[in-house]
Amino acid sequence: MNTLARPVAALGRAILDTVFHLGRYAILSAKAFFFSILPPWRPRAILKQMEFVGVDSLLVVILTGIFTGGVFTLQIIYGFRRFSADSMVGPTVATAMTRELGPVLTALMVTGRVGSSMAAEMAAMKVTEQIDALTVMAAEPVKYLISPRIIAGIFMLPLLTAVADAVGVVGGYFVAMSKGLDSGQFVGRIQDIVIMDDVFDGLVKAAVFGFILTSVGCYSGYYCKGGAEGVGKATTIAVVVSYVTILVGDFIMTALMY
Amino acid sequence: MYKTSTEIKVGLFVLAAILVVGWMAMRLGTLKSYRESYYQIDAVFDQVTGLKEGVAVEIAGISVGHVGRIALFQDKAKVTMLILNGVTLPVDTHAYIKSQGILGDKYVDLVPGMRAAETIPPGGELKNATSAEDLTVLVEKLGAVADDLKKLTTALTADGGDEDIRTILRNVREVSESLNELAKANGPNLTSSLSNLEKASRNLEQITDKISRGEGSLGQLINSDALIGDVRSALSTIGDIAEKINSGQGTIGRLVNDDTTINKIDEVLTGVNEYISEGNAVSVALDFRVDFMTRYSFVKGSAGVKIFTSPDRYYLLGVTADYFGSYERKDFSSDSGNWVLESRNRSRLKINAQIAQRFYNFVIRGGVIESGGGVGVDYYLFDDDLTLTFEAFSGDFDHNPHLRAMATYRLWKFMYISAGYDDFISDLHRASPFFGIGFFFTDDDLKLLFGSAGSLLGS
Repeated sequence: MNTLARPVAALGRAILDTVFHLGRYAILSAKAFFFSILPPWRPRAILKQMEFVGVDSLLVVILTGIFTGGVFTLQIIYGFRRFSADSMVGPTVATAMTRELGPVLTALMVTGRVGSSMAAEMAAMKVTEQIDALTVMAAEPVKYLISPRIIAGIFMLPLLTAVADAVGVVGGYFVAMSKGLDSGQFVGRIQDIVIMDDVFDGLVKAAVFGFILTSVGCYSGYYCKGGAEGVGKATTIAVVVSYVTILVGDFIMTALMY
Repeated sequence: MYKTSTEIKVGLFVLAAILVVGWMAMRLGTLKSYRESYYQIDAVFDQVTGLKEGVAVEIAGISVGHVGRIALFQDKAKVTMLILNGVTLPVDTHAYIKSQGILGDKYVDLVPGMRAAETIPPGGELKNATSAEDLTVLVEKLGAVADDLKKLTTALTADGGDEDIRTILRNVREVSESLNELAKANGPNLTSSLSNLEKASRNLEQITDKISRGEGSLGQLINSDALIGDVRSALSTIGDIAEKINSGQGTIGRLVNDDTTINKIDEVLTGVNEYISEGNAVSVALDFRVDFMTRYSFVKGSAGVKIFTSPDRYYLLGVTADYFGSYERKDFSSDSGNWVLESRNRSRLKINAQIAQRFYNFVIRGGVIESGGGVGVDYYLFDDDLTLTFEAFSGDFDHNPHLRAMATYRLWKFMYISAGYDDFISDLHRASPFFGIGFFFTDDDLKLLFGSAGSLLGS
């Protein structure tokens, strides 16, 4: 009986765990949203997080954008030259950058830089009981710690993505020039084929990714258990879950958008 | 705690990112720095496979508009095209549906015709529309040709084919052989014919000799000196006439030689042409507005006519009925100091006469505003629906200039509402908020109105 029941129980536990985490995550997110609407707003805290999420990520996002656009152009030229569709290289690179590569790669880079750091920070505060101390002082930790981070993520990711889109196309442009394309060939049909909706859809995605990576980071840190080991675990979970959620979410949003 | 550098960093970053988005929007054509206006023409094609709404309409490879709507019309495809204002199309313009490359998108190519004098009017129809040679149709035709060729070759290479060719060749050989034989058999006859021809030509030679010596009637006619004299005198008369004409004598001579006549005719024609084309360009709009001045509870009405000599330039003439009316200023001096007396003019009507020029979304205008010299700026937003206006003109009695800030919003085509603040630095305390309602008709609207009214009356 015992041997028969154990695997079934394990399955049940896994499902219950998932539902439990999802529910707790949803409640935490809703709380964070709710508190961000209620005064007092904390512009300083939000500004500080915006600097951390946005400004400090700028360099890494620019590098990602340039090299992504560059390598994509390199591959595309190789293929498109075969049926002399040289003039389609630019539009293809621009469409891919604005719709997919810009938002997704920016989100992944920022998750690695910011999401992990948020998880570690929250987890450290949790295990050293600073969060409990905040509660004791009647300062709502969700409002104080999580809301500013999520707001900063939602607002900063689209801006970073816009930068990545632009430098990606510029990177692609330089690679195309080095491969002997005319600048008119590269730029000319971008304006014909890429429409502003492509860019805006990408920016909407980026805002959603910004929410995912900050909220997942905060969640995994906020509810971490144990000592130093718990902190490490929280960081790992934050990054892995954010990555997967971003990629799955990207697929779903793309399917809905186009 | 409160770090200024954080603010500056975040601010700079947000500004930079917004600039990037704005730049992309500008380059991708969503944001236009100025508004382009179009007119419609229709064309009926047999078929428009692959043509999509919104694709480019080109002349000589340059985009002059786009396809607006594609609809079924009597089993054919009616394509409405929006052509940029300023691009005129002769009535015999041809429209073709073409594709960019074999895989490329379909677009409409216009080839302007020769009759430049008559152009297709807005809303008109383009008569010469040719559908694209569909690739599949082309392939079918090529296939049919290939089939025929194949039949021919099979017929020739088939069992009987060789035999046929050989028969043809044999026939050709036989024909040439029989020709040869014919020539051989008639050899002597041919020789005698040739010698007869020789004799005939010798006789002809003798006759011409006689004529040149003046023998016989024909010879006399040709060799007589008197006849030559007559001909010579006739020729000299003609020469005289030609000379007279050439030197400008007589009516014809003057007409031919005097450039001024031709120049005058030229001028007249040019003038007529310009008049006609200017007449076409001028359009007129009527504008009525009534504003309620809330502070004084009186109504200020204005009526004006805008005369557009081009889409960017107009002249504004009109009148404003103002409660305050026009004043005369009278200075008196007495022992106790200077007196200033204001007295109301009989007329409360004020004159507007301005010239206005539009630059993108701005209109700058100046001239006479409410009987005083002044300038104004209009800023158009949201497809010209919302207009922000600022005017400054000299008040007739007031020491400070009369300033007015106003916003008008077009509710629908003929009607708009206005609100603003009038004379807000007046030293006579005439500052007052106001709101009002206005009507705007272009001459097209008027034509339409009167046209429909006329037809109503007619019926």
